[in-house]
Amino acid sequence: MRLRTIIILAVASVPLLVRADDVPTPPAAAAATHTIHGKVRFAGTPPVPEAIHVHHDTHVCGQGGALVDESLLVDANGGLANTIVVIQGVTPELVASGPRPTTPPTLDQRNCAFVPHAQSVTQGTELAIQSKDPLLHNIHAFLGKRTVFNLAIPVANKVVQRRLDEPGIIRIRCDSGHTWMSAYIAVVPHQFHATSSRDGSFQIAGLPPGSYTLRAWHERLGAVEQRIEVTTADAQVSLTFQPPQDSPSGKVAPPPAEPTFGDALVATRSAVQQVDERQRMEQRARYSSEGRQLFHKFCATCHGDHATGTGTSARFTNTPPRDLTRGTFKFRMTPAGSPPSEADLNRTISVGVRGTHMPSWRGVLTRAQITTLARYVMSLSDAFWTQTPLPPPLDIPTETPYDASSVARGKALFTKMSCVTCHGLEGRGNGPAAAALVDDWSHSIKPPDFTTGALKGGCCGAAVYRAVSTGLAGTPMPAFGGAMTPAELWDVAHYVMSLGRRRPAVDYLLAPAGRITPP
Amino acid sequence: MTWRLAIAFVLIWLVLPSRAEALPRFAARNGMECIQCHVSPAGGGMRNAYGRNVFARNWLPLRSRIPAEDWVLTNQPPDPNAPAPTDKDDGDRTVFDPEINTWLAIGGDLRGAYILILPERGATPGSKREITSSFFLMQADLYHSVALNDHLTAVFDFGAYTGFEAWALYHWKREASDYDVMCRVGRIMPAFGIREVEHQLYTRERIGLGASDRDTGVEVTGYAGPLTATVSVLNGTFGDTAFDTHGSSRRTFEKAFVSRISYRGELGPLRLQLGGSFYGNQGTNQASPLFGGALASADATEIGRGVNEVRAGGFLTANLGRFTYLADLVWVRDSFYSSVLSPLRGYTSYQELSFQPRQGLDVVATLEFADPDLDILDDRLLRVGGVVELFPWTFTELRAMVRKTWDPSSPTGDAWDVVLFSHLYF
Repeated sequence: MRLRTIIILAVASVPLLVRADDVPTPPAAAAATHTIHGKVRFAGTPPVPEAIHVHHDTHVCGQGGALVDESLLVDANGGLANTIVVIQGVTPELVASGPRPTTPPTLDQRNCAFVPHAQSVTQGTELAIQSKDPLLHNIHAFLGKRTVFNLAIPVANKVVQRRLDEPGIIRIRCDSGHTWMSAYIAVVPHQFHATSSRDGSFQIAGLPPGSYTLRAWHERLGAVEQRIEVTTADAQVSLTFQPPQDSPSGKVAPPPAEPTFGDALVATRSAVQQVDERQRMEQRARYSSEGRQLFHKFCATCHGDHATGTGTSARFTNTPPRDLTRGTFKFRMTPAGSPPSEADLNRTISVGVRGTHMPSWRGVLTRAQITTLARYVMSLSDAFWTQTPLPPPLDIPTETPYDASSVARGKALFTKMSCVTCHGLEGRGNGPAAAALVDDWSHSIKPPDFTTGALKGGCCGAAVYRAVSTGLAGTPMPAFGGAMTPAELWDVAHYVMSLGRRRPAVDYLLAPAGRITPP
Repeated sequence: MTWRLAIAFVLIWLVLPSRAEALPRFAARNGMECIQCHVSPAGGGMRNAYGRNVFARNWLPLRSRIPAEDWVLTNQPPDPNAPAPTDKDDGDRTVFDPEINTWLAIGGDLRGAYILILPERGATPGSKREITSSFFLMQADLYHSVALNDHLTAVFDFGAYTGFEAWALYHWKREASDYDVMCRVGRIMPAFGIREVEHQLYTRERIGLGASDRDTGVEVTGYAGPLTATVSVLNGTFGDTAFDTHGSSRRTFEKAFVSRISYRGELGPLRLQLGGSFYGNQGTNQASPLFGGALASADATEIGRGVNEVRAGGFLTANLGRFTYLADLVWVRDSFYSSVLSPLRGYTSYQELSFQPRQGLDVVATLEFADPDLDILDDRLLRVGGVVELFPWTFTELRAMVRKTWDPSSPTGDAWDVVLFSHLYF
């Protein structure tokens, strides 16, 4: 037991030892705190902001240079805007004693641009998302390649709250035809961070005297680090980004494909958190070992040995098999941005996905085997194993009466909520933004044709309610749960259901025979 | 009685659907190629992991619909008073696993049949017609697939009637890709047209592409998006010797070339595959079994001097919901080294329309046509059939087939035949 205890303590202390140079010197108890005043500079010739070509919804978004590309904004003095600056290696004690954020962060959408373009927020805070535009925007947020949430803002001045729990740099886009819209939010596991303003200046307050490392990240210029000493007064610092070496003229290269700065946001965890994490990892390892053989026997031929959706049998499947390592799943009862529950995965494996080559394993494998597979799928993605407890599943209220008035209300909402942008007026999947839609894997994706009455997630009201409410992760379909009341969601679900043509004989003949048809 | 036995034997040989191959209908229905379920790019025989673990278990057998409770979306805890799951709905209880380990798998096809042949009349004027009623073991093939590494697989097929097949397959891509190249070396059956389940169709064995017509050579298959192309170079000694030695007039480097190209696409809800095939074999020593029948037996010696065989054709598969249509049309030309014999020209066609009332059950209508002299009316062969095919359990097929053949050259006239068989596959 003694040896085991030593090993556990040694393992638990590893995160405290890494990047020792980043750990600030311990502040004196109740010492006075100071502020770092900094400026971020661009060393090259300031580029002229480029006008954005607006090609969609010009009546709201404007045209002819109304919007400029904010991915590289440099003022006349070389001040670089939209740079995120973070203090590295902050201790839990400093986090506990430091100042609390007073103003909740916001993300606005004005004239088809995200405002602000870049910002840093403290992990665990609520982001207030709203829109001033009278059209559909969706806030499709990616952490790396994974969707963390996708929320619809279909009407102006509607505010949707979203808690940001995962540290890292979130990239945001809008799928509603506004391909130029982008923003970045750095979720930092402590409160010592800032974003440079238009003139490149920033401030980080509440720091006791000590030695710190500043890390700054810019979406197109990468990251720079600099050490700074905070003594008995406020400190001044200047961070300079160099233009890309292959562009001496000052023209910058395209933005990097994937920002890696988020990897440097190392959360310093308490001992209790470390124990929890160890337990979670043990459970994850158990799920993995128990399900590996079943997965490789029945699933790997399509999903691939590494579960990335590239098995040899995927060549002829009509829909690419899911990349299970990203933790992004369409059919969930969990809120947008959350991984599915074990029950969600169980259901998908049991009933399959209608209209695709994902079969129904119910009746082929035992229920115990299906559960083992669901757990194996959970073991494949970090999304299931974060510190954040999984949110409760969606509570689908009792269905309201499915009658003509509900369908009529749903039809009105279908237009009001801008569903027509992608789905088209008659729900045929031919809306003005439909042609440009891509999924998280950059595959072209088409909205479903509701008139066929065959939907992948199921036919009936609850399945449609779920899809509208929580969105379909990995696709541009955002979650409307925050934008509509439960009764309105049912009305929309009823309208979608009403679009299915009533041609029993034709539907029977033209529908492929198979088990994956609703009862 | 000898001639009667001979006629009965020939009739049985003609109608015997002995060889289990791929079912192109399934590929057409799902918009796939043969290799989706089989190890061989040309289809048939040993099934791969998808074929045996996914398709054979999920998409083929007759199964009940998914229980309604599995569709229900609820976040309520399970009802404690709900009845416990029963064995009946808890897995398909298949205990057999063809995968021996991660690198060795076995496969098999076992068919037993009952056959009834009702000719129109006796073989000679005034003679009594001979009705054939018999049980047969139609096929017994055991396959072994050995994965040597991620790219190389060896397959061995030991067949009770159809000899053996053994080849190595080099598979360039180990993951799904828009393009891929495979190379097969060994004793193989090349890809040509629609590789239907019945080897003795007018478009298969009757033009020299039957179940036992395997040959030794090299085959290269390329996949590029919806296009699939296969080219084979073979000895041209189909079903005969292992070495390319036969034929007194055959020159050293005369080989058989077989190629097939296909395109898969969709037109709304319609799944389509269009393709073409070519087969050329120089200096072989036999004519088409179907068309060569028109030659007198005295010509055998002249035929043996050498035959240049050419078969070229196009095929189409289409699927719309529960309906699947297959059509194969092959033009046949046999020209002889002997100046005594005139070239044979003709064409054959196979068409099939199937309806799937539910998963695990197919109702199929077939039409075969062959014209050995391009004039359509004279000497034509016509065969119409109806098939009911049932997959009651995993790895099991039951099939009933009734056909009527109109053959003006047959001494026994037109004929009805009925074939019932059970088929175990894995």
